[in-house]
Amino acid sequence: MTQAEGLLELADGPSEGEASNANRTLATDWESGDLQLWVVRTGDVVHAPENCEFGSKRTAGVVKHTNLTGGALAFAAGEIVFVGPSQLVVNGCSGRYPVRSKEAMDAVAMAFKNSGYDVWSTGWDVEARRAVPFGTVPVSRVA
Amino acid sequence: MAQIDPAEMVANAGKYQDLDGEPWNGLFVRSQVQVTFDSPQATGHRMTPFEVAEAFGTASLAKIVEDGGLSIVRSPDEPARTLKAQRNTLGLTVEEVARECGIPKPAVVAAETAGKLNPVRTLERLAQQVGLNEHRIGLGQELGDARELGARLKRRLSRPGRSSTRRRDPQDEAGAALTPITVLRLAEAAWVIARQAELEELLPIELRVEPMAKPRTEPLFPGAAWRQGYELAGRARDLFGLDGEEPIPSLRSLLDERNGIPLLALLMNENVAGATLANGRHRGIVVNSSGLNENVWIRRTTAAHELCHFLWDLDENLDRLRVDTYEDVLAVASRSSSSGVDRIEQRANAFAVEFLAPRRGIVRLVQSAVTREEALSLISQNYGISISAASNHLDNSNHGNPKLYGEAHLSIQPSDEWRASEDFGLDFFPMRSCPYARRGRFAQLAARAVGAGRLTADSGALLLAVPIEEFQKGFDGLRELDLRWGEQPSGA
Repeated sequence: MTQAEGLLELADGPSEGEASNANRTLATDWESGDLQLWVVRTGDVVHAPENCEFGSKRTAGVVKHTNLTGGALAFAAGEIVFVGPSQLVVNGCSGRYPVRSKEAMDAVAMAFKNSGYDVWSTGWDVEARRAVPFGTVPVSRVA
Repeated sequence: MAQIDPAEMVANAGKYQDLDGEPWNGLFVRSQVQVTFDSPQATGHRMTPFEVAEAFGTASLAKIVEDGGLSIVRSPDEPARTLKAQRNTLGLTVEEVARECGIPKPAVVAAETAGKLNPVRTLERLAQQVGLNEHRIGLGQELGDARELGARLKRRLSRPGRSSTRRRDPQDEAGAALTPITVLRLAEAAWVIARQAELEELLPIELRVEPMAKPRTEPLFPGAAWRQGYELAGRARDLFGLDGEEPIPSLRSLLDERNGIPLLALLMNENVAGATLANGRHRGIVVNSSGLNENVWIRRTTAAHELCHFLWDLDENLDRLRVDTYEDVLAVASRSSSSGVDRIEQRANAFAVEFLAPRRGIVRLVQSAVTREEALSLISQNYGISISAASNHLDNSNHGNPKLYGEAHLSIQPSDEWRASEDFGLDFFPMRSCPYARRGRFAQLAARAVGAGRLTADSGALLLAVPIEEFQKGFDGLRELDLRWGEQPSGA
């Protein structure tokens, strides 16, 4: 998948202070926003919408994480919904590049926050040892 | 999405990797919200691919392989909302449910609080106790039947010292009001009945039992209900392959083990003899193991009475639940009895005694008897029915021997053999903390499924509501109880 096909490099959000002040709450209908996939590759963090023209031409009918990496190794991946220019909700669910521990999930969420976003996360499911998928528990704001 | 056959997945486990990229161990793990590949550090409920496919649909395996996991709740409010709603449907308090399940009250409150991530074993145990499929509580599917049965149970709920303004169930006129514990145990029984059928489906074909007798339903004839009861008893004996005279040495074995008709023993209100339940398309029989049923001959009569409801009651007559008191079940099944017992019950009473002790056999048996006492003793001990039932049935059997009429005063208790034939496997169950409702064939099916690799030991323990250590320790004993372990079903 290329930039022309919809692949995006994660841009920094507004300044941390601005994001914190602007977004103390999360819209209840945040899940109606476009679901995107994110991947931490060796040199960058990229994302792309799950449903797009590129995905519709694939066998699965949607974009997969491996489309964002070309099948190469990556550190971690998951799903993301941008609720506004400075706010996002993130999880670490991926078949190929899953986030593998609570510590890693916390680090991912913090990295998004440190890049200037107001970040909300689904968190970690200890019993399944996997990040919590969207739509299953209320999300929490990353402090 | 393509489907993956669970047997193929197990056979080719080596080609899959877990989420760490390590060779997959062939199991999945379930939490409150998802199912994913098992890993050594996961602490949730471990399940086989067969279980996952059965619980969450045939497309679920491909979804897990493709995406790494499968979400099993439809909203963040679930399964809390469903669990709380079902408890309220049953009319029970948090304390009552917590006590019966052996789960601390705060854990029950947490399970019913939307948005909390709870231990999956707690959720599954609670779901089972209130009659819900423990796998599908987050999905909001197939709850209609459990709700309707729950509402029926609630209408019969009675609390000591509290007058009820609720609408009384028309069937409740005989006084079979239920205590909260009995309501909970009947809800659990409904769960066992439905899950038993699913367990059967989970087994390899060669380990399943094809029932000879399934519910047929037969409306009440106009005229004498007892006459129809006798006729239906004959038809039932034909269905089970019994000849016109032979005794039934173990009703439990005939129904539960050999024909897959759930026959559950529960500790219930003292005045309740038994019940017939319908959970969706599955019916089952429940007998009280306390009260008069402690006499195994009376318990057999109760079970046979409920068998009539199981086999022949129309859905609208059964209405998901029929609870019978001892007064109902032991009402004289004679041609003259009618007061206070409805015609469906009259039919069931006549059915019960004729099913257990066919008049044709009685006539032959008492041919040589010279006293009524001798005749009654022969009938009771040969056919396993009480002296009072034998007495009435003898008078209805047209034996033509004038010496056998009149009064008789004798008291005979069932032999150890009769008790053992009906109790074996319940009293000597190798997992002592297993609830009574789950002993019997349900436990045997669970053990067979674990032995055949269709269920994990983790699932086996959850189904029998025992700690995993107790399940593993008692597993061999459970297999020994299953006399036909590994053999072909009868008739195969």
